[in-house]
Amino acid sequence: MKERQCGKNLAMHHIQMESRWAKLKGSKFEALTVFLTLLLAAFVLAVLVCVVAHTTPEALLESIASSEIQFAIKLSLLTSIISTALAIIIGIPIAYSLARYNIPLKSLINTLVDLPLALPPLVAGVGLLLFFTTPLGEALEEVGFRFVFTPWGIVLAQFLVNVPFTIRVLRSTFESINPRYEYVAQTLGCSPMQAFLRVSLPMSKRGILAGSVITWSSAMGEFGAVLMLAGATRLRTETLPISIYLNMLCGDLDMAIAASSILIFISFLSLFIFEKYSGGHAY
Amino acid sequence: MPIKNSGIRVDDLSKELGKFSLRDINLEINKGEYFVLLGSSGVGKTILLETIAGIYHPDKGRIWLEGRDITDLPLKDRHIGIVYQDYMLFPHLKVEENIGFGARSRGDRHRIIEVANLLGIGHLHSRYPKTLSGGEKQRVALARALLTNPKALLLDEPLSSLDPQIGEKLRAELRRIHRLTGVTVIHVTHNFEEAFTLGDRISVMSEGEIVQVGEPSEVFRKPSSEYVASFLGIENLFSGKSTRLGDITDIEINQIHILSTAQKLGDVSISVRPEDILVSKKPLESSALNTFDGKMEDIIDKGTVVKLAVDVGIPLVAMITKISFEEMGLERGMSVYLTFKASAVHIF
Repeated sequence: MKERQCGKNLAMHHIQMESRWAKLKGSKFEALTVFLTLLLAAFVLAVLVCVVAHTTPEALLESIASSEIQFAIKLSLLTSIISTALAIIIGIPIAYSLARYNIPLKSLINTLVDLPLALPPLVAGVGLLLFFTTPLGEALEEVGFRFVFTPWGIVLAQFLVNVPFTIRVLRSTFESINPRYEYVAQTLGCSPMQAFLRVSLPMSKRGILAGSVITWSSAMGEFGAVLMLAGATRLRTETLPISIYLNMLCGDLDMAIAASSILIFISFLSLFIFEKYSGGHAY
Repeated sequence: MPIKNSGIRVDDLSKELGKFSLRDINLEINKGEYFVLLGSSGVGKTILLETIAGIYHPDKGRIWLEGRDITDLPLKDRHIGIVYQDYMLFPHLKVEENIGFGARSRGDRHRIIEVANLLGIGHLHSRYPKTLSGGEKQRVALARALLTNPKALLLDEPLSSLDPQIGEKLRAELRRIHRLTGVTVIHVTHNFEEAFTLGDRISVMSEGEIVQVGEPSEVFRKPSSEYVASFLGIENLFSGKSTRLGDITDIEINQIHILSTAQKLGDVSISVRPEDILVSKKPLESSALNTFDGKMEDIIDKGTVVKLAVDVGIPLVAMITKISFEEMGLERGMSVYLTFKASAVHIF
């Protein structure tokens, strides 16, 4: 009896709220879209909480301190920092040329450069693996560039999958800078390269920072391409994502959760930095 | 070959660039001259300026600077400074660093203070561009361009982003700096007051071509074409003979006598701004000295205002608001009276 009344009250309350809200916010359509948004946000939060809350804080810290997770953290940090640095160094001139110059077959080149964005990383990894069975790939291995099933393969896989992101962010940054800044610099005695280094590059620093962070965070989480090219060898090519995979396979949930928690933390951090520095032009 | 005191010379220059094009441009600008390129937006003035600066390579034609063919020189070796409407100050550098951007030697470093003082911006040294007003920014841009002692200074609508008051101040400043430095200037503008007051000579551009070059008074008095006349936008522009009439001037145009407070005798041109002319259905008793009656020939609706073309012996154009136009119930063919003060008659 009491329960029913309570339910009725709640329903009444709900209707009141609803109508007040409808008055405030306008159409039913708006209410529906906002509701779906809130629902999705709640679902994402629930999924993340499931990971982090599955174990006790003590067990989590203990797993993080284990030598295997420590190795994975170090390997992930090292490979992702190298592949991000490469993506930025190589991405800057490429993004600049795509933003500024009329290259022949520009749209085709744009598509090719962007393709890894849409391509499943697993397929990119298969491609990379097969590349090293070609005469060119074998020649590279011969002279010491060994990528297959090595930590360098992790770097290469991360680089190839992520460099299109880097180029996209950098290209839009350079496009937002009026080329007349460089023209003025050139009338003041700079060569085109000096004008780029003294004017456009420092003006792009926010975009470069945003691009680095998003590239680095994707590199930390890269799995498919890394698995194909570098394999999943415990304590050799075991990055954080590979560690999750290996530990889930053998049922060591605590270790998998530890690695996952670290990746969740990194995602939040990098998304926050990216939002802060990307979009809106710095000047 | 270019003559001795040649500043900038452009020979048969053509350039296609997207929807803009320049066709067979020929210019001969003297060393130390203040040359104004006048034209409405989209006629290719900026492209011409940027082609002279070296940003674009011409499809055809040559460019000479002080007797040297610079057509194939890179921007940095041309000794041409450029100043844009939007200043293009480097946002990551302080004022001092912006001005000193082109400094190459110790001597140039000393010049930073000199040039900053010349433009009255010495006190802004450690500020960043985003904290400056429009007028201050344009002074910094000018100082930056002047620091390297360019042989030519190209100004692209340098005053157009500024408040009219600031713009007028900076206009005087430009004249002073030009006198002091003697640098050859090409100043691009769509504002004919700027052209008239600054230019030693003016060239009028239309759709990628130079349609007239001459001294300001010549260009304004004798527009070489309908286009130039209508672009210059001076309505009620007449030529006549003026004589002294006591304290004022009487100008006879086509047997009509117009009185002016301005003093200039002989063959003169006059202009009256359409908005200075009062329109009435009956003659007005007023202090204004000029009253004419005539027939309304045409009504041109401009939205909030209406232009009335009235034939009083000479074709005068008056401008009134839409509201008074509707209240007065004016129609084509009506007789109306036009009244304006002697002080509204501009003689030149």
